[in-house]
Amino acid sequence: MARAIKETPILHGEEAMRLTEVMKTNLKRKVSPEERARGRKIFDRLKKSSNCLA
Amino acid sequence: MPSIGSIQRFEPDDNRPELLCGDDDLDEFYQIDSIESAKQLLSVTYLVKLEDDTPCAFFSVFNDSVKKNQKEVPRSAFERISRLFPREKRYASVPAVKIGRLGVASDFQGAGVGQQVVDFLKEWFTSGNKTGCRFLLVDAYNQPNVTRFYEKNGFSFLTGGDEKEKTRIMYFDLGLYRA
Repeated sequence: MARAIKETPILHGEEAMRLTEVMKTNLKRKVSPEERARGRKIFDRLKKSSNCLA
Repeated sequence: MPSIGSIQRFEPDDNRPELLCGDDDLDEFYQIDSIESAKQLLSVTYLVKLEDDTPCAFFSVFNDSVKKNQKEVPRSAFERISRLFPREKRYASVPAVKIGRLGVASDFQGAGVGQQVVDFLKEWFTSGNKTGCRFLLVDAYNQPNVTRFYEKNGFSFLTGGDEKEKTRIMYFDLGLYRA
């Protein structure tokens, strides 16, 4: 049997606070247009050819 | 670089075409455990094919969340956070999807297939998703080549608590990927 996937830990204290701040900061940032276009291109290609994405 | 061309969702009874990743755990999950996991609705496994239909990778995903115990946050920090977020937006549990396994066939390792799969997942769970999902999580092997791959793709370690474990939970904030 393959190993069990590790549970995502509950974040406490500083780690919880840091993630909240990262989430807030990231809403003012975005990945580069090039990176976004790369993902979009692959998604569109797979959407056309994959029944499970229809 | 070979381009991925399609994905196929595996139902429990679907035949799994041969795909060897050179890692016992990944290979066993693909051939055996993914069937039981699908029967129990615990995860969904997808086969990734190249444009010429050659199987080149697989991945499994399931719903997850990142939970934060905010009661333990020091009062001064809590007040700072409270100013940043209106009350209704201070979620203690943030929706996520976890990549349980991502395996690339030995013949295609190092050819950019894993990168394309990750790019696809970011887009899929942002613009193609039917429910809210803020984080893409992965339970990554704690090996430099693996964690570097995810870091290169914008993932960070969720906690320092698993630094010495065999695997580490890493996250990508899909907030960066929104339209």
